[in-house]
Amino acid sequence: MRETRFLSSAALPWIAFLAVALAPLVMSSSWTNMAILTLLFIHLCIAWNLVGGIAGQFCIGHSLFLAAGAYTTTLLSLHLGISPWIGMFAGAALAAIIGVFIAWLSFRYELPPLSFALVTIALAMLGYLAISSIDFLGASRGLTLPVRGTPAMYQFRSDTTYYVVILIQVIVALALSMWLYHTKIGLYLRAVRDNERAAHAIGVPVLKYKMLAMAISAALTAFGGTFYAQYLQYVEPHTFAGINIVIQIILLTVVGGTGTVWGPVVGPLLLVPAGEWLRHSLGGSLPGVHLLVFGVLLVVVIRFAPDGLIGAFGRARQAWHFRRGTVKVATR
Amino acid sequence: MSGEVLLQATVQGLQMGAIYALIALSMTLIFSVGGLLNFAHGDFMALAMYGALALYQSFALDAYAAAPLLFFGFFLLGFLMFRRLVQPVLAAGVLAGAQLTLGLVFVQENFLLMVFGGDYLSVPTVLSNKNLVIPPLTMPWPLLVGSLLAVVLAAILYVVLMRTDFGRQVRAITQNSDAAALMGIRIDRIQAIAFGIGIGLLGLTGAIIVAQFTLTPAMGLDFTLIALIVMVIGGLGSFAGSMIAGAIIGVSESLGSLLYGGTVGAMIPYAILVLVLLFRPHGLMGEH
Repeated sequence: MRETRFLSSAALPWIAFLAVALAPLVMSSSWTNMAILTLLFIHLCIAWNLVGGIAGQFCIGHSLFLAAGAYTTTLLSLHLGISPWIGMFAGAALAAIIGVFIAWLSFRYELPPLSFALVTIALAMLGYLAISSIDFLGASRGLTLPVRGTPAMYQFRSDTTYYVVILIQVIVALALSMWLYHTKIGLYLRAVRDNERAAHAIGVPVLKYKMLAMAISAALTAFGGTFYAQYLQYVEPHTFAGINIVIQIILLTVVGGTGTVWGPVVGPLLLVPAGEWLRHSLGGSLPGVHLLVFGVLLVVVIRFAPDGLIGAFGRARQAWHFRRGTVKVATR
Repeated sequence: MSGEVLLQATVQGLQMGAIYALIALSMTLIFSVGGLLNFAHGDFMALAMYGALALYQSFALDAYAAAPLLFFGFFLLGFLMFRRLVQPVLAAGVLAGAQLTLGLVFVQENFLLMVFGGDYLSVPTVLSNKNLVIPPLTMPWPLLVGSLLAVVLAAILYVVLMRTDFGRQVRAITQNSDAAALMGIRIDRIQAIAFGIGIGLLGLTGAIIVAQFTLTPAMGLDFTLIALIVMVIGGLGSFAGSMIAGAIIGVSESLGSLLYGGTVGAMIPYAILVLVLLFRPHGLMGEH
């Protein structure tokens, strides 16, 4: 209940999101770069949040899905000349299949809590090691995409076009996530997150819905992977299959607020530009210093708002209403 | 492939296994008193290794002599960090705690990168590049000493947990923290001490095995993953289980890289973990 009231009463996140989203259309190219990166992470965070937040299953294996999206399209384009516009659906389908399989493997039994995190991190490491040793996948050198230079092959002259593509992807992902959150599926998933036994007892088909959440989340992540590969024009294991990018996705979502609709938007929206700014202003002085400051920032937010900025904002709002005497009853 | 080479690899695997088991035991200690899954575990050990490097560079202090110093330093670091940082987050749930430690991974890796740079570094010690030859075996002294010390430390930890008041309090919290609190055990304090000891042990472990490894800022995550694997395969909280799991992982990794190359060797522990979690989800020796 709390979330719906918060959403309907606050247009603020929408305004902030649209302001940042539309800014690059009138700004210079370095801003466009940053906006693309920000939107890409928003996309990936929204996708992760479906499983890691709304369904409450701590998945560290999303690098597999990112790699599925990136490598499938690259290979199809490289060897068969198939456009990534078509290839991305193959990548998403592959990712969804992998996701459903992992969910089925892990959730058949009632495993001890957090062991899903361990299964997925182990599978992600296996995937990373496999990709970096198989020559057909470019091994650790990676693969460079063939230069075709036509929009039909997902290659554009200007970054602004890439920007429009990822913006559309984010809007679709956000709409999907909002819709899911408020339909029966989201309700079931949240019930599973809050109390799996109780959800099972009242007849929620737990396994089926976990598999569904994994499938949607994996497919969305793969679309992000396709975009990232096309934008960079190459794929290599460290960027696309390493654990680091998953850790980044998780931390950005956590800072925004896991399990909320706007958390995975707010986190990257604030922190990706902040990280880029730190890189520009500090990166030249000492290696790693901008990432250190960034990491400290993340830890401080988690320390003082373990439920993320969305949660902290909600509490601040309530305290404000309380002081003004217009207190509304807290439902939780 | 001659039998001697296989024997050599097996012995080396067993020695690595003892070290893995010790790292996993300190992780188990931290996990058992608060449910905190510490993803920054290996990074604390990397920090200790770089600490040994810094002590060597500044004071020409040998890593083995620096070990007790690092133990106390890291105990304090762990204790304070738990009080000020981890405990408040852990109060919001074990998931938030795990996410916090992911943030710590980020912080520590980049701290090391900033201070020491990204190059490969090594720490010279009295034992570096010396081998003990017992035909047909050739054993590097740093690994031999490291593994023997690891076994001794694991034994000491076992005695502390089984025979002292502190150990009984830790086990009480592990079994039922509410009941333990009702019996007058100050849970938050025991948790902080256990976290301190866990991190302190990492300081010690880092110092006694530093001669065997090449240091890079990102090395911590590998140790974390190995420790997670050993802890889970052994069954949470089982001492014998962790030792056996350490040996299994060490030997299979060492034989795997000998027979099929380094990448396959590195994949084997993860494959074993996935199989164990799927078919024996409570570990080899865990309670059901």
